[in-house]
Amino acid sequence: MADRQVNMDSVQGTVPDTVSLAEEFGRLYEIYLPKIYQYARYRVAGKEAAEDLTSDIFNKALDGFRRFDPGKAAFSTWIFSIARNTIIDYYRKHAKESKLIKDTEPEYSLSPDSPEEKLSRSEEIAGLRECILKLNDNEQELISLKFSGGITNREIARVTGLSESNVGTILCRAIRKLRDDFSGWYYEK
Amino acid sequence: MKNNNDKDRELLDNLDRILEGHGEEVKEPSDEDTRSATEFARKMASMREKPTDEFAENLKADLIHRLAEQENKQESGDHELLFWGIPRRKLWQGTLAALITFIIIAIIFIIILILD
Repeated sequence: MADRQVNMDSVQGTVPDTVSLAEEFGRLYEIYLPKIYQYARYRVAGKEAAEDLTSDIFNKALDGFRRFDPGKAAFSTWIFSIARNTIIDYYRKHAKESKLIKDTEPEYSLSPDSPEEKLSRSEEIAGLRECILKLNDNEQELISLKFSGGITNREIARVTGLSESNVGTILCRAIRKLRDDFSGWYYEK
Repeated sequence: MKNNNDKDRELLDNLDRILEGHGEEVKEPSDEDTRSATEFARKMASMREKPTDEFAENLKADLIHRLAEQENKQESGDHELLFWGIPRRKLWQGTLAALITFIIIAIIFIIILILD
């Protein structure tokens, strides 16, 4: 698994010079860009906002990369902690804006066969995102971390400061809640 | 009959398999609630989105540019360094201070010699 690969490689030590720093960061960028982007996509409404946040997160990660110590934490824990704090800052700055802005932009990056399928798929994704944004903060956070990063419950516990068993319980509750909410949304459609 | 903890454990195991890309290894859940939750998790995992290539390339270019800037900043800082990591400016200041001190001591010494 990619995460494990990163951990193994990262344990080799701190990055000695700019060339290897660029190479290492570039490699991690390829692995983590889709995960971080997906995380931001789950957490905020709007594709542009998610892209801006993804840029912010990677810029912060680059600034702090020389200080990143693989002996203290896995890269995934480190970068998702940055992502989480960036989202918290975002909502602090945009406190007055509702999280539940309807995200109606169609997702043309997906490639199902027909235009009808494409549209219904993008509607489903928008519906799912709507349901996620209705969860409470903890549930939303854990669902986003789990499904975007595919990280272990132990790592999620480290990022969020919750206990591992609590993470599991909240995740299961959130999945069941989402299932029910999403099927309600589907039938309304 | 399974209790809630067992059901949660079963759902979490299935979820990990799905997210690791081993969805085919998911065991058939023992109850309807866990089965439908597992199926929903599978659906959610299949609905994950990817960033556009354009966005990925632009961000990569920005990061490379930023890294080059950081490197330039660090290099210009390095040029100020002399041997043993002592900054050139500090070395000059130290040498000058030592020289002035030496001259003052020499003058005092000469004055004392003359007065004697």
